[in-house]
Amino acid sequence: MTCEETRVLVPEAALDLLDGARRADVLGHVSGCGGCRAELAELAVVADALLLAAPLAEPPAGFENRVLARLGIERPTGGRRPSRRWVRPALVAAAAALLGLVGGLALRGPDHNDSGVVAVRLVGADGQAVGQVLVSDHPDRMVCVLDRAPAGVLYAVTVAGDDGVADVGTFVSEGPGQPWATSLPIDAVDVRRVVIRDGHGTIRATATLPD
Amino acid sequence: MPGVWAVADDALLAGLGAGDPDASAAFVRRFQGRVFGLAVTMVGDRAVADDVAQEAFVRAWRHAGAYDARRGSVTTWLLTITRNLAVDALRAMRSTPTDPDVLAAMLPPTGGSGPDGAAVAAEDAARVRAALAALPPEQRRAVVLARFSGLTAAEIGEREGVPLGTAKTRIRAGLLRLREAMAGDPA
Repeated sequence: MTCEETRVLVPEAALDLLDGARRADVLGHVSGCGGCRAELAELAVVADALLLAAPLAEPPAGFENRVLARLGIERPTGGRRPSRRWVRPALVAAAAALLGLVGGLALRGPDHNDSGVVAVRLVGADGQAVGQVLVSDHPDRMVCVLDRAPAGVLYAVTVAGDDGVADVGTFVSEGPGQPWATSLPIDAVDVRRVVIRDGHGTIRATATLPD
Repeated sequence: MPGVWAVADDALLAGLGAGDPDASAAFVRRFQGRVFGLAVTMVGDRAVADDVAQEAFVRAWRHAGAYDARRGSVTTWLLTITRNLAVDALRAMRSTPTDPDVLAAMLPPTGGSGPDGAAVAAEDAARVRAALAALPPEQRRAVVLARFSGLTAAEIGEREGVPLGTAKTRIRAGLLRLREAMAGDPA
């Protein structure tokens, strides 16, 4: 590329608007051209400053905990919120009641809480967290929570283990964040994956349990 | 870790990359307002912005080792990650981009330096906001659509009803004016 051709594309390169091939062309040229490289660098500073111009906004409650949970990082001791990982205390209490948990339950995997429930994040097709699953192996029960499920929508749940897939059942959502509890058709310790589909059979969320 | 709040941005990022609990928590607290603010400004939906912002921190953790201080501040590096994720989300949502005049109006003329204490960045932001407001409307719309809605020059031309060459010219002219303004005295 010539300098003239490159400089036509430099503003779009600075704004991250070019496809891979044209961006590579521009970067290839500027690697050997100080003048075009300087122009790209200067306009990139402007592009960065534009992002800084966006207003600050407080994220939804629990944001920090959710991020740290996704990173697999335990909240530092003495933190502002004493809850473990990404399981909200209120949810754990509700889930424990729904599961009929009693003390002294076996613990499994890295994401267990004090009451013995294995807690795993549900993720959507885009990899984003959309809820969580809590599983107990004594008794063999589970709770599904979809953070943004509209009320009245039908979902079907299956679990997969080493020996195949088993239907857990269907439920109609009572609204965002409302838990659905049921018995497991296989031993909880054998569950490796949970899949939630909508009424059309489309997978809406999956969760992979730790070994 | 007493005093973690006084630690430099790049040191906190290194701690995040290493999985240090105190540094990671401090990093998220320091930048969450900025990251979420940009995300919600761009996508216009708090739930989607929550997802975008979370993913931005996950990407920062995953790629912390690739951060190069010579190429920009931690703040702009993290906001660029956020911006790219927000653009992906907008395309996935197939939503009509927010009117650029409305978007521009959402960029506050002052303030927004945040808890990260990035005084230089805040000065840059104040200058660019003032300069953006002073741009001819067609240039401001082109720059805002490109940066905050992720539209290409061709898409901007189509949306604005002008030829591709005109859209490119507006983007370029707008950026050059902003560069001149940022090179001048602080607003």
